[in-house]
Amino acid sequence: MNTNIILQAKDLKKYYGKGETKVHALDGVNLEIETGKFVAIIGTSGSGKSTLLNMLGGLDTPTAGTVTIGNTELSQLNDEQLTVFRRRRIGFIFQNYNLIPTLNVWENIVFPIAMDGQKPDQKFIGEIVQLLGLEQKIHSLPNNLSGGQQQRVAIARALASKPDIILADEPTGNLDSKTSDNVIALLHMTSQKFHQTIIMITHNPEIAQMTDQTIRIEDGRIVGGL
Amino acid sequence: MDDWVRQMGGDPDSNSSDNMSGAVNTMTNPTFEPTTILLGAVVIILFVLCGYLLIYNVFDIAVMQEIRRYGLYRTVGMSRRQVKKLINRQALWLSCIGIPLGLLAGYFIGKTALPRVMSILSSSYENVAINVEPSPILFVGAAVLAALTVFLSTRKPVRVAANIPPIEAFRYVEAAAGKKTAKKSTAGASLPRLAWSNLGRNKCRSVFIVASLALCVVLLNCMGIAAESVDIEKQVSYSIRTDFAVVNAASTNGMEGFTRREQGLNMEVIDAIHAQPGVSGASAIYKNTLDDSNVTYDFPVEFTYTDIDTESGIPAAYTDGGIRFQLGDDGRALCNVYGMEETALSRMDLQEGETDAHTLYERMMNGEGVLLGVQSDMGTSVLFPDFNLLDVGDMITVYKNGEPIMELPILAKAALNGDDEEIGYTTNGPSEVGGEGLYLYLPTAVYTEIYDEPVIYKYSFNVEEGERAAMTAFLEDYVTNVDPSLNYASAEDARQDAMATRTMLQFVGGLIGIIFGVAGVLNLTNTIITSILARRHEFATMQSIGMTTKQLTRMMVWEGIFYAVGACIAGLILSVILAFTVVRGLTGSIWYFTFHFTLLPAGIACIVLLIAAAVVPAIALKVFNKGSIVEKLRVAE
Ligand SMILES: Nc1ncnc2c1ncn2[C@@H]1O[C@H](COP(=O)(O)OP(=O)(O)OP(=O)(O)O)[C@@H](O)[C@H]1O
Ligand SMILES: [Mg+2]
Repeated sequence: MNTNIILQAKDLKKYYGKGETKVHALDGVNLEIETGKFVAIIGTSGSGKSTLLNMLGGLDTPTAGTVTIGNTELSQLNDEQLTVFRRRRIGFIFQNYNLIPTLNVWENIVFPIAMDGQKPDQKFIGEIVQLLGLEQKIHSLPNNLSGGQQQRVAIARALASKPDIILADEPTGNLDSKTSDNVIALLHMTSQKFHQTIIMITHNPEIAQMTDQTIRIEDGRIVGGL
Repeated sequence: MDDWVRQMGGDPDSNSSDNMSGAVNTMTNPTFEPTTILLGAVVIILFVLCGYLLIYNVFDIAVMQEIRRYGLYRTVGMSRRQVKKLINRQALWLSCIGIPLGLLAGYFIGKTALPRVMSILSSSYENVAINVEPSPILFVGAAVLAALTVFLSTRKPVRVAANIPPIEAFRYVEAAAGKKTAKKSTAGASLPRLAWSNLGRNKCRSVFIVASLALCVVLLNCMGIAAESVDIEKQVSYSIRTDFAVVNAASTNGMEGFTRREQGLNMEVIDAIHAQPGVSGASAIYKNTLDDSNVTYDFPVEFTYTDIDTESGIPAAYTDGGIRFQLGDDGRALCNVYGMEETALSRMDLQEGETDAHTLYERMMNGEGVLLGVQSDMGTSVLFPDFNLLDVGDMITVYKNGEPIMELPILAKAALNGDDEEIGYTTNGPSEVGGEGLYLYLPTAVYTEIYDEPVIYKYSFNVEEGERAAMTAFLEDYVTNVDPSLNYASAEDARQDAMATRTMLQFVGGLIGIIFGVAGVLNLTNTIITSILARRHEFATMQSIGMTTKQLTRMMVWEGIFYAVGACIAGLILSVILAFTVVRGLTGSIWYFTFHFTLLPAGIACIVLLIAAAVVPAIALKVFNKGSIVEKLRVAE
């Protein structure tokens, strides 16, 4: 195995439902992603992008096939271990930000670290906050932030625990094009600065153009871009 | 105590939290003393409050969950008034189903529980007929109270629903975290802190939960203090001064009393008792009867009017203060006159004059005077001023067949209890013989000198501890098989009776406490479940970014525990405050209480609440937070 491969999926399948209504959301996906790459996943709606990303991040269990991150095969971990693995090694960014409304910006950012029982690296997080332009908003509650600001908080949260991989599901889906460009640029910049691998779903071909690699999915299969 | 009984059958049903079944007691007709009314009012208010907290919570949650729908109705043209009407009708429907159900349940609970409570009570009043009848007034009252509770409880949720601007409703999230825009904290996110900030989402509801839980702690503790404050020995020593006393059955019957010579004890029973092991301090007590009307007394008390009892035909004279003296053949007072041994006299509560029992007895034996008994306060033994008509040194002249035969100055005064007057709590005998008038106590020798045919009305004696059970068995057998005209009283029986009061307070208090506790925990469960359902998406988010299921459970448990801790603190503080104000005041006003502070019931309630508050969220999470993280994340907020 190439030591440069951070993430590997083998014959990944995910079926929903049974019999007539059975949906092959993923139907035998094989892929390898190298450390430090910025990868875009594209495809039509319902093609299985989110399903793939969730499998890769261990949020959902595949019907068949394996996902290996670093040296860890996710299916070998139980629920508890998987959660711990996730908060240490993977950062998630969602389309609808998914910030915790009762926590302020700072608390949201350090949430995965706090759950891990660690002391947040103040200096490192301070740097991220500054890079993302959130210094003034540290004490704000998420409801009082704009969509772009909220997504920047979500990015900061994903970066805070210094994960190996960042998985982003349409992070700019709810943002206007100018803000989108800004967010993507920030994501790109921080990942390079901290040597992180990014896998990002997008519908925007321009954004896909900016990445190192593009994976196209149709009907639960990879059809190109590799 | 009747008031507590009347509260029995109170029904925990949220829709009719105040229904009661009636207890109509044919003898001890409910007397509406101020304390009784006050206690009843307090209990009713508490039940309304409890119902309010529960119903408010249910409607508040229902409205919050349906707020989008109401907003939609408003956008498509429903007026504010129509929305109000809609929710009110819902409340009305629920009441129409709930109240009759609650009344029915209350009726059956009352019907089964009341006789049991009454039977505990009735052991101290043997001739009390127990008759449990549902009173229509109580039913109507309960229904009205329940309806009122529903009406009050739904006011605010209805207003909230009606006043929400149509567009806002769509964006209405309970998690709006108030009007706060910022929260100064960089402490990070520990589980207790997460839980704590969740409570802040709906402060009003949190306060309600805490209040409804605290209510149960406070109530249990107040009732616990009341039960603990029941002074058993005070009651025992009021009703009997010796371990045992044998009397004619008329004396223990609240409707009769010792009034005739023929009711006197014979020597057989006295000899039989003496033959038993362990008897000590025994004394026969003599007393005058209506048949001794030839012996009368004259003393410096002024009577203002006289009349003749229509039933008994016995004339009576009254003082200015209305104290009744029955009159003998020569128109002078009959009085209640007792003759006893020194051992019996030495057990009396001598308060004024010659207070050394031995000296007093000697002097009375020498014909130097008499001991005057005065009715006194049951709790404090302070002589009642109304009955305290004579002073030490005042002269009492004994008349026999109209001729003065003896001059007896008052040597001492004693505070009377039930045993001194007759036995236990019954005083019918003296009341029908001498009236309320003078109680005079003499040595047996002097007594038998005055009266021609002296009779013994009571035989009092102590028994060694080890022999008491045997004595009880002997007396029980004697009064059932040998001489059914007799009866006996014992300190042990008196203790049992007194215990029954405590048991009943514990039972009723425990029941009320449990009802409130269950209501409080239901409230908590309701809120926790709603909270879990509303936050499923948020929980999934937390889990996706690294919160383990264990941590999630712990966070929710913390939430429950915060409610409980709040309730415990509030409950304990309020318990202490109420104990030293209201409870001490109330127990102080009833003679058989001696205020005794305890926090044990509150402590136990707190522990139970803490456990419930920790278990409920854990179970609720298991049941209501099912499904994979991805599924929950897919559901848009
Ligand atoms: N929990 C589920 N139960 C049943 N079917 C599901 C479930 N989740 C996804 N699917 C189905 O799997 C297929 C792939 O869904 P997925 O969410 O991965 O699509 P997507 O590529 O992310 O689409 P979009 O661009 O709209 O987000 C769809 O047909 C969807 O209906
Ligand atoms: Mg998707």
